[in-house]
Amino acid sequence: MTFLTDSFLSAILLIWTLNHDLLVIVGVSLKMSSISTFAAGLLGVPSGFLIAFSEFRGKRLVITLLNTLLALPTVVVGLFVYAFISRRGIFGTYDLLYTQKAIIIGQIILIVPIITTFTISAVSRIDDRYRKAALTLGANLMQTARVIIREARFAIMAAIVMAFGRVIAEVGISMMLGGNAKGFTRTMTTAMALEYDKGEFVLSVALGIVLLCVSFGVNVFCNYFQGRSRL
Amino acid sequence: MDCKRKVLNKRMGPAILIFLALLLLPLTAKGESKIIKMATTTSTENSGLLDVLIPEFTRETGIQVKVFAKGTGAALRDGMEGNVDVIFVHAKSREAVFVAQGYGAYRLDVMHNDFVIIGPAADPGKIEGMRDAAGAFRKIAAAKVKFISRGDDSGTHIKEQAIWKASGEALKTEATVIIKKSKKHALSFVYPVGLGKRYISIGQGMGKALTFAEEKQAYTLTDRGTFFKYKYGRKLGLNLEILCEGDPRLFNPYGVIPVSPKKHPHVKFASADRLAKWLVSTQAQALIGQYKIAGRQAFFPDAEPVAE
Amino acid sequence: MKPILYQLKNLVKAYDGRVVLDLKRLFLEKGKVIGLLGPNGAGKTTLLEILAFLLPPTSGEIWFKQEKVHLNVGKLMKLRRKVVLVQQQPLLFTTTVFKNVEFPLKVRKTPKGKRSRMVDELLDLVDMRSFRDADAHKLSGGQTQRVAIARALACSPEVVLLDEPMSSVDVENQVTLARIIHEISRQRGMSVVFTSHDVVQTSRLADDSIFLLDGKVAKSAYENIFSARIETVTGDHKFCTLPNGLQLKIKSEKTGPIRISIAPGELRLSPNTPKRSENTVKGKIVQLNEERIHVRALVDAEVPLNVLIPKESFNRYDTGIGDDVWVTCPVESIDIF
Repeated sequence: MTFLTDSFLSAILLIWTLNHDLLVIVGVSLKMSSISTFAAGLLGVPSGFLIAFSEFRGKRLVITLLNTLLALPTVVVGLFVYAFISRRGIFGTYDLLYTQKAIIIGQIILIVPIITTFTISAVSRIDDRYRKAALTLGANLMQTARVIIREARFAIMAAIVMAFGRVIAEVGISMMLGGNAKGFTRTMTTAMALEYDKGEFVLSVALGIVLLCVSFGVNVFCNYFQGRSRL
Repeated sequence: MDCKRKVLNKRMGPAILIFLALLLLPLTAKGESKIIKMATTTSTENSGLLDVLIPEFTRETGIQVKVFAKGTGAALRDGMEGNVDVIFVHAKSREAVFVAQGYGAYRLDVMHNDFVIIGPAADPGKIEGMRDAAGAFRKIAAAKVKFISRGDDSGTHIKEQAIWKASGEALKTEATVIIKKSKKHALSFVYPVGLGKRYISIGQGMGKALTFAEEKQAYTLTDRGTFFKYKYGRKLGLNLEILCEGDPRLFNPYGVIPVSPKKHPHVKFASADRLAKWLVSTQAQALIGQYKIAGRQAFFPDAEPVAE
Repeated sequence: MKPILYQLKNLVKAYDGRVVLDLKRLFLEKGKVIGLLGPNGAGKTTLLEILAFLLPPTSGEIWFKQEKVHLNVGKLMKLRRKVVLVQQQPLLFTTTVFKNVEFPLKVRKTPKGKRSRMVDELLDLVDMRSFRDADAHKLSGGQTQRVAIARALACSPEVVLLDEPMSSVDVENQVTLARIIHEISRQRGMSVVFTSHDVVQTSRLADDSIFLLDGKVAKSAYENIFSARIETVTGDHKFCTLPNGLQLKIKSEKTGPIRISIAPGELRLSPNTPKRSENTVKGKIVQLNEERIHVRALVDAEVPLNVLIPKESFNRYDTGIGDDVWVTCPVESIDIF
């Protein structure tokens, strides 16, 4: 049992002393997860909205595909992006591999399907009478879309928080595309994997505890934000 | 209760049977003592040498070996915790401590390969043809080019830190304090301050470090075997060259250590012992000497003949 | 006659091939309160949504104020801003009452100060001023209905369409709603079309009533509806047989089982055998009701027939309950479905 108490105490010590390495790692993790979640939200929410409200051939197929992509393993995304951006890939000249940009690209690919799918289901569940009400009250298409997104905002926010949880906890993409370079692309999860590889389990678990604390903080923040937006 | 059980039996009978059968599978496997677990380093596994040695050992003795490739630190850790029966690593000083603390039964020299400093063919650091590894590191630092460090506490990483220390470059020690056995314990490593952001510590295996170095067209320290495998063993060989080699400081001895049954009575010492002794036998030593990566000898047998 | 507001020509709305609305010709006059009557599934809501330009018809033409409506999105937006629909059991947006009523003003970019004043006026009109800052989702059915009407009136529309405003609303709210409908029609000069399935209520509120049955305009939607079968064909005329054997001459292209609806106001009642005896049945008056200008008689002529007779005509006949009468159903009074 000392192993767990050691890990817990180490986690407290790391946070208490504001360990520089830890701060950098947490900062990198938060920064990249936030950027990729934000970008994926900008892509995913409107596409989910469009898919939900337009009729086209193969719509069901698109939704089925998106649902399948929810189970996309991070390693597959990693390999896929790797093939494109490595020095020998078609985007090799941009020197993207093993940079934060590479991680962000991979993470966006990972979570756009999550946000899109959950946006589709969120806005589909909104009673069609809201759309008709907005239209008859004189709203144009954009204003109508805003009304529907407003009505679906809690479910969409939940999808975004979930997507954030997925990227901050993933290790495959960060490791394969970021390369775990200390101070640049080392995230909480790749740091954990590293400490495990080094046999430093205590530090690994301590980092895990810090990760959970950070995720908890983010969720509390989002809940607070949602609570306020109700008014 | 009876009723409930009936329902369970009827509906879940087959499922439970299958589940039990699945549970039994690993048990039967465990019952066979002809399988031992070996922790080794990623560079050893990446070199491909084990793919030659292990099947030969199994053919001869009927003992199967499960190989777990990790950083040296994690491999030693596996030995200390009794998760494996034998370790095969290349960090001599730490191996000595491992045996001295009673975790290892004994250590045998098996072979050595050597480290080389590799970098882009353009060689912006102008170290090509140098023998002095420390001097090469100094030039790399002065040339302000990228250097990839394993940064994973592996044998290669330990060797790299030793060379930086020898180079006389300004070093910085970074320590993380954690609690171990309820006491504060610092984990530390050193790195050259002069390189700044061009010193990239990736915390991954040798293979990844090589592809990382290629991607960034950077310098790195690697063992010769893994480098050959990546350079000549693939269709698209690594786009990096050996620029500095031959310094005795780059010498990299491998040792095999069966985990001591005194610390961990459950380990399969007899089989582990056979593996260790077999690795230093004339036959295995010959295999090691003949092993070539892309037509080049990668390992040099080191063992004194041991009487069985 | 007042100017025409809507004119529908050969308008059909079908979902997956199932026709829910089939209107050969329908005029709605401007400035009136018009009641759309019919049972559930008659197509009332569909018609309102088409009138609100929310739903494109499958085929046919819509004319709005003497102009043909082009069903492209850009122009519809303009028309939509002249017409507003209050849905059955309307949904308010998940925000305050004030913001709900403010919404139409906001999308029309009305200046902020003016908005607040207008919202307060409208909330006064529907007696909901005290709920100004309440959470819209916490209101009762009647209160929700009133806020929805205020929100609709904020559009300053020319036409207000109300879908079942009186259903699921208590009596007190019904009185308030009737007052509001009266006020927006008479004082604000808006045209009102509302749907209902309550004939009495509609006759009280509406200047005109239109009956819908199975997606078609009917002369009646509740009374004198019979299932029948077209069996005998004699020259140009067809006859249909009611279940009790009664035969009526009709005009129809159809054959086989049909439904007929006979307009109560177009039936002729006489105390003696009429000279022309086509489509005439003998029966007994079993019930009499006096309405505003009509007398409603229920005649048992083997089938129950509702007959609506102007008061003065009825008074001339000197007949009462229990008396024998002859009822003539002109071919034009029979609608076939």
